[in-house]
Amino acid sequence: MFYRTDVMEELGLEVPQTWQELIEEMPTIQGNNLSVGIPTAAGSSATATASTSIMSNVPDLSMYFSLLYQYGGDMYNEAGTKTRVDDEAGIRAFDDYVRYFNDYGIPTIYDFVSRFRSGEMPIGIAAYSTYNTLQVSAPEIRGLWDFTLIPGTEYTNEDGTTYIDRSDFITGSATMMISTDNQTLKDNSWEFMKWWAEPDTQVQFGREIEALLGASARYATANRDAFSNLSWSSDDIEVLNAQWDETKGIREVPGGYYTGRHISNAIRKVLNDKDDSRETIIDYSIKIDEEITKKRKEFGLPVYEGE
Amino acid sequence: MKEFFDKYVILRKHNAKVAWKKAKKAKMCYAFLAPYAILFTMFYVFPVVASIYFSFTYYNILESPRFLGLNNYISLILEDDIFLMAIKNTLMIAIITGPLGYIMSFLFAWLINELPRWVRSVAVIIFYAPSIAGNCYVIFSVFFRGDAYGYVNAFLMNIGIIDTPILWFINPTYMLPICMVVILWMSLGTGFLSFVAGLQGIDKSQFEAGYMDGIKNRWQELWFITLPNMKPMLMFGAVMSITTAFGVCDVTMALCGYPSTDYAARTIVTHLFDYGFTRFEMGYACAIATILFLMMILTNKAVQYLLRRVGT
Repeated sequence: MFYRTDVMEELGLEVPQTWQELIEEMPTIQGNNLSVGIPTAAGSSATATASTSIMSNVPDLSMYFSLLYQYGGDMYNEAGTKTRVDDEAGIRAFDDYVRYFNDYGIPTIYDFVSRFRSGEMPIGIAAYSTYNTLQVSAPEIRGLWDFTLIPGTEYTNEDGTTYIDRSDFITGSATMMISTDNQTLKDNSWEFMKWWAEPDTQVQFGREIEALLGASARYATANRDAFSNLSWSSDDIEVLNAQWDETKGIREVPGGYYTGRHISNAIRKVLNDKDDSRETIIDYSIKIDEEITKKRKEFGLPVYEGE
Repeated sequence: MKEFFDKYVILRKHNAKVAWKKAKKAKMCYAFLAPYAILFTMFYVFPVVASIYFSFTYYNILESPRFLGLNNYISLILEDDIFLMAIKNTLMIAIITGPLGYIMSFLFAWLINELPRWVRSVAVIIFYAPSIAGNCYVIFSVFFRGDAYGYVNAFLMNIGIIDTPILWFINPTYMLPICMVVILWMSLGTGFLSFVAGLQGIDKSQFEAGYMDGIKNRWQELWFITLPNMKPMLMFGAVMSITTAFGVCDVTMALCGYPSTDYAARTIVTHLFDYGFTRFEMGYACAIATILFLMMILTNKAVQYLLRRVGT
């Protein structure tokens, strides 16, 4: 989450720690004709896509996934045979997510970096690679902004203490190695993979690329040992590591390409037609399940047969 | 019956022998033909045949294809609702933008032909620019941006027609009409250019002869002299507009996203893309391609038949 320290100070707002606090601050923010930016399924606001095509239509579901995990839900059941977005936590996450747009009137399409820069959007949730963009493209607000952990959901433990679940999500892409008879080829590529993922290699790569291209190319390595050795400031590293500890991975399942597609269809349907959110997500989860079952049958895997 | 059949076989054999002898005699001609014939077979005929073959199989690139018979076609036509939607969208785009774009580009070419030379050059550039500039249709995503800062939204909000920005490319209601406008704008170019060239190439003396023979007005001139003279260009323009109309995919993909909301802007080619490159069901994707191929051939035949009647 990125926030403008100057604007927050002027409005007399604290940095929100939970979604509830964010919602409570919203009247003050919106009353001053400003807004809050949360990742929207109507179009991407992330820098990665923004750099290639500003008007990207690729849905950004990250906020919905974060809510899903914070409410204790999951994308798929244990065996990966069925989606779980239609159970209680999933529906609640979906309902709360669309409410930000339909009830609180948060912009559905926006360019985060420009609005953050103009101060129009003093709080925004965006990928941490936005940091690079802001560092380089917005010199006039240098020092007037900061980033912190994404807001969480507050839970009360049995002993009465409260804690905040700030789960975020991560997806990865995988490389498949097709087995060949050529053993040396296989060994070599495995060696290369190991070498590339090593902290030393990653640190060296990260430093060299930053030396060549400047701060805009600050490298976001996935290797945690290497990460703390890159030129991020120690405060930033602390924040990022804390968020990192809370990230949960979304699994890839056969037919998984259908899940994101239909979740974004469901969200857009509620945004466009103001349909009932519970009905909509349940309808679409049936379609997701159908595709998963179809793909599992194709690969000869066991399919879902009721609880 | 058998006698007749034997006779037929003998006749065929004889014909084949004659053809072979002729071919041997004309070796040189075939040698000259060879480079093009080989390339054409390799890059056009072979892929088409292979794709038709794969359409009868289950094929996922990694494993060798497994023969399924007509199953792909059966599930494509009877089970796949999204495919039917894709056909509906493609036909709507083809029927609206194809003929309309064709007629419009002809009319513009005809009108512009009357203008002085330098105006004509400028007009040709204006009409042809969208086609040569490639991806310039992306500019429409700025106009129709779902943001309050999108030009169309900002304009409509300023004059007070709407109070919240409309998500033009996210809302299924608006997607297809906007795409059609964009496609129409894009498709004017190629046909237009060939029509201008065709109009330039008509012999002036034919018009004079026509006036002598009793042509009374511009419409008669158009129908009896101009159009028959332009048949090749008309043919080219028609084939181009049909192929582009059926092959629409990059415009909808770039503007409405891939996949578009609720598949509202899905065309046959996007459907093919989905099965071929997202799900890797190549057999199924080939079946889609084969159906598209057949549709294109049939419409081309129909258009050829219509054009043959021009000027009669």
